[in-house]
Amino acid sequence: MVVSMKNIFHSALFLVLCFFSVAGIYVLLSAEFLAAVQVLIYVGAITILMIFAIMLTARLYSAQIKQSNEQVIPGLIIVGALLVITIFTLSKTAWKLSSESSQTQTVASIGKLLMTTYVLPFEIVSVVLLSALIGAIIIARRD
Amino acid sequence: MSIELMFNAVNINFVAFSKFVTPTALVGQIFAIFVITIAAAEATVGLAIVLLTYRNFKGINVDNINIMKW
Repeated sequence: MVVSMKNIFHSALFLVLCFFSVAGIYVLLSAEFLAAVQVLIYVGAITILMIFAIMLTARLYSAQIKQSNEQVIPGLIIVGALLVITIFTLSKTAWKLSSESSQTQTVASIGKLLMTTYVLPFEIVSVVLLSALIGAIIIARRD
Repeated sequence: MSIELMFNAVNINFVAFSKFVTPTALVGQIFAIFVITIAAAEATVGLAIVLLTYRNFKGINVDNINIMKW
């Protein structure tokens, strides 16, 4: 529903629904910290950012906006072929399922792992965030 | 918005693999955290570009942005 609505604000609201559903899936996969992070960052920050950008720039509803072009049928055929190939590959692979039970304290484990084994990506990601912040401010500056 | 959907799909894949293949080493979840962070940074820069485009072209129809065409 996100990509087929004519009113772009409705698309953003359906995107919020998607984010909440994905957080629910994370809880089912016993990743509670990631579910909380997902709701906080995606719904709390990125959706607000998108709604700001939509409100500041777009005319919300226009009858001339086409949400699909003339290549729907070839697109559907290719996607169907890809789906068949993926399902075939998934059913034939011998997954190495582990029989251990999953962690119960994901927050503490993620914290420990981020600070010991994955400290380099952690620092690099903080630098990336800083550069994105500076870049966005410089791009959207009014002068 | 479509790219946010794609990022979410990739994250679900990571977390699902992390739960079923290596449940004690939470590699998939950590990678998913990094993907969320990078997606946020990229959405920020992309929306800044959209704002600038609106300011210069008085509208955000992508077909109108053709001043470099000859």
